Amino acid sequence: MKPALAAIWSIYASAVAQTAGSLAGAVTETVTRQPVPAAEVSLTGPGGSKTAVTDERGQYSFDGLQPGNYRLRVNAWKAGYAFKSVFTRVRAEPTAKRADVTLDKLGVLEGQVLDRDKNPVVGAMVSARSFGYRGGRRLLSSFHSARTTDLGEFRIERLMAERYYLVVEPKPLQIRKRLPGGNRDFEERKPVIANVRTYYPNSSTPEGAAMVALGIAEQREGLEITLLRERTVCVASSLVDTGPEPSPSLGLMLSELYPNSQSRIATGTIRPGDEFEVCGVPPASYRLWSFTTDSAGRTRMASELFAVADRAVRVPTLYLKPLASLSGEAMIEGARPEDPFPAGFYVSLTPKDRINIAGEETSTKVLESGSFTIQAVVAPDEYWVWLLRLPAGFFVKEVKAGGRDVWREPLRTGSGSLRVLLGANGPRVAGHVLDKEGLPVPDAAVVLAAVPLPAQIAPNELLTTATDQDGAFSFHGMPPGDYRLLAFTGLSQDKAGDPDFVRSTWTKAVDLSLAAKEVKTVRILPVDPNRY
Amino acid sequence: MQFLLCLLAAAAVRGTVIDDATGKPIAGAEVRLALPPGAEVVAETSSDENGDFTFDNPPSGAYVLAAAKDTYLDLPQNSFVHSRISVRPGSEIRVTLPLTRAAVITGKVLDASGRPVRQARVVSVLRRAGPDGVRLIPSAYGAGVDDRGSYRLFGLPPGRHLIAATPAGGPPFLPVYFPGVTDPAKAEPVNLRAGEVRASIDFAVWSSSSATITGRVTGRPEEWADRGVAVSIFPAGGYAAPLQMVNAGRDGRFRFEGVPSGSYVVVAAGPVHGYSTMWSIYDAGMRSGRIQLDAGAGSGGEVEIALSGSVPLEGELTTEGGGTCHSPAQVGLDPLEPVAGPPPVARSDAQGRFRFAELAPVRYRVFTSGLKPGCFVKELRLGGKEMSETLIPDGVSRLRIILTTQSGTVYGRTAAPQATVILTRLGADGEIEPDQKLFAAAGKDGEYRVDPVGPGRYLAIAMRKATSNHYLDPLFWADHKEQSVRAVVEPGANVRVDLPVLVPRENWR
Repeated sequence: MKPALAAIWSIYASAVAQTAGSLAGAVTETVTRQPVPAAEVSLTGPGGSKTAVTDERGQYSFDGLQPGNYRLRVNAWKAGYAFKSVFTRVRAEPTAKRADVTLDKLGVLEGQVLDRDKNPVVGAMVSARSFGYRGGRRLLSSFHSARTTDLGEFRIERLMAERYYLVVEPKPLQIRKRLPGGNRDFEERKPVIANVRTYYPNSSTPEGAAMVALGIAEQREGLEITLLRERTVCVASSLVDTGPEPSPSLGLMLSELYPNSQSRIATGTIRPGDEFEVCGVPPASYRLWSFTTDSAGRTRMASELFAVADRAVRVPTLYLKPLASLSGEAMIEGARPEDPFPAGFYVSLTPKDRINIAGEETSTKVLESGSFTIQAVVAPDEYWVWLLRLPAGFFVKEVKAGGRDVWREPLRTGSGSLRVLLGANGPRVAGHVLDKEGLPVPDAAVVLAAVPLPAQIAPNELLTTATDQDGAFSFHGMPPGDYRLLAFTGLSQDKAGDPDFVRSTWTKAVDLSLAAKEVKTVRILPVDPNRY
Repeated sequence: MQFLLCLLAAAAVRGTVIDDATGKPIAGAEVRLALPPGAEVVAETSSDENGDFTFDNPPSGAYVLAAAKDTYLDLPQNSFVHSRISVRPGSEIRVTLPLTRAAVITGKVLDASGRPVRQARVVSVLRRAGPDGVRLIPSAYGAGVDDRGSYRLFGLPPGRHLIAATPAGGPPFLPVYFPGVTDPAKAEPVNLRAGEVRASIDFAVWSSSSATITGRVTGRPEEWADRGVAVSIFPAGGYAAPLQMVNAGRDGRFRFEGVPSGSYVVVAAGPVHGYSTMWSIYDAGMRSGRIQLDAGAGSGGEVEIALSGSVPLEGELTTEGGGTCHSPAQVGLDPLEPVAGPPPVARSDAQGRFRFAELAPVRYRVFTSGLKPGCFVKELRLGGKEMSETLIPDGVSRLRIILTTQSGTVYGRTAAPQATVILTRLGADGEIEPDQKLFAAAGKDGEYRVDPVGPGRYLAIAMRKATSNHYLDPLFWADHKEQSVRAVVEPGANVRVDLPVLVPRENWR
């Protein structure tokens, strides 16, 4: 670099330094103050997002930042720490703003699984489950689990401070080919008493279970679960593959439907055409399913839902069929042909009681003509319908399939095409959550709920969001009408969206009457959820 | 009348499950009656408080009896030869199923400052033949390290284990073999007795110096858009699982931090479809690349990995002299150097044709499974030429696997009764073929017979309490050459091989 150029460069650089700020800090463990190395730090604010990783001493730094409010997120989950999000204000100063972050250690649930004779149960799956809500629909928000050792002991690590159901699934049952010509008296088979799924401390359902409240960094030990013994029965069926390249062997799974379970009670591999059975199945509702993907990536699936009571069940034959496409049309209420159609929104389906399978494609963009086709869904099966990225001012009036409301109720695929009716005169809410001193409250959970809250809730009748670094939030996508608004500190969005929780805090809410196309600005005080 | 005869001729299988060390009965064991070769279960029951079980009226035929009980090794895992039975009309069969108690290892994995090493796994490592000596493959016997640095590895078969602490999704470190070495040749096996609980098998994970490897993946097609490219780092020297896997950014850049000084193979491949516990799964159109490098202290410098297209490999299974031995069979390719993704397997169609659509052009060992009983691999031909068992696919040459139903017999006497006889096939290159093993049990008189045996050259041993840790380890065969006997089996020939009972050397490698 020539001397003259270098001089100009240094002048330019100092000019930049005057208008930009920087941020630095250390990430340490809350109690011991030990540095947390290799934590991922991401910064979001006026200039967009930046990321960094802490060094051996737990230090991070960012420079060249536009002045303003920033959200700093720290992630060292893999190393056993809870996520942390803090807010900081960066000014155009020559010295770096310091933002030190302390991380809480995640908690542990530890204990032992025994059978009724007090023998350890080896290889059982123990899961800690907690539930959340989105749009009034319940979803499972924790998937932590551990298998018991040869001593029947389990240790579930990396748990957030939360209330958990603890559930034990005995070893997965085996789905097997039936002995040819054997056990002709299948229906006459007597139930067999066996160890069954047990919720802590000793219930067969979540309703009878005790939730375990785990504190920050708590190591809860000595949780003893004695498996219940119940009557179990055999389930039989057969599987037929009529595809162009039939698989020589197929995996089969038996999953329980409730509560939104993705567990596999039983698994097995059989040849198509074979009769098969699985024994040791306790009373509950189940899905028996199988899928295979051909060399071109096309998936075929078979699925049957059934319930077990107190006797052997013969499930209708399963047929592997290609996934179906589901088409539909979106219309704007009262729109004239020349009115522009809102671009860029999506129709999306989520399976009601299982996780997506490979090859399933359940989301699609709505074309400018208003028509859409979702490529590969399981039919018949049950899904929840969502509309994503709906532009401001639009809201869902109704979604129907085969004349049925599939917006409040789950969609049963195979019952006809989807008809989505949108309203175009929706209101908007823009607001701030401020504390008693009038300072912005970042990261507050905000809930907007229709008045009165219906028994069957549609996703635009119970909306949740969280405030940003400036305490700001906004809602759109709901119809005009009467609403109540609530804000909570220290509560996740999916907990705040629990309809029962919303009802229990109903009296603390702010009433909002939203007229068509209205843009309402509100300020709201947060509520401490621990008082409810 | 026929029906009545059947009833009169009813058979029964009765037995007792016992602990093979104490001879005491085991109650509550699951017992299964299964059909070979796939061990398809036809009936199951559990043993009563006296360890007894009964199967009434099983149809005539050959079966395998299997028994399982928590904290014991599953039968037939180790004593597979004692559980074969033939049921004939009216026969009443009595069997004793001895189960071996599994062993347990516990300990800690700590770093240089005594802190627990999370994201680590302790595994029993298997040794298999490789192009430059041995390859080391983490077995299914493994346990995670918890937040206190503790692990408990249970369900282990007794015998000799090579135990290593390995990284599991976290920062990379070189596998540490007991008693604390990173050179697998210096590792000491842990010898376990049945039912033993061995504590304090501790590992210290640290490296005196670590490097950062940064690099760029090139040759990524434009149509991949935002599809992922996974980059995995393997230590040179035969460890067959990646130490760490990262995703390359959209600009192709990747970075491994805290890599211990040493030699490595770095493999990049895309487009990523998803991840399993150990591997990435790739979508069609896979491109991959590799580079060997030495990472020194401080910095490993900047490397570039060029992605190139995969090659197909097509071929067919043919049965000598007509008939079919495949319906269908699987052809597998065991990569002898690190590759992205799990070892490829292809299934033959009704005509015996098979196709691997996308292979990385590295050296593989060919193996075949799922052949009909009495069928054997006679010869492999690549592009019309006879080959040894390894190949590098060139995208053009066809692989022909010639099968035969012609077989011979190996029979003889072992120096002591009730040993297990194991035959291992020798490849065209004289190397032991890892997947080609045949077994037989010697009777009380020491007589045994292995029938049928495919034509070829074999090494035979007889031993008691043989486990896969013995007979699948190439170094076990190399260290016990003087106790094994060579045999050449021609079609139709009966070969007599008398065998000493092999006593494993105290410190075989």
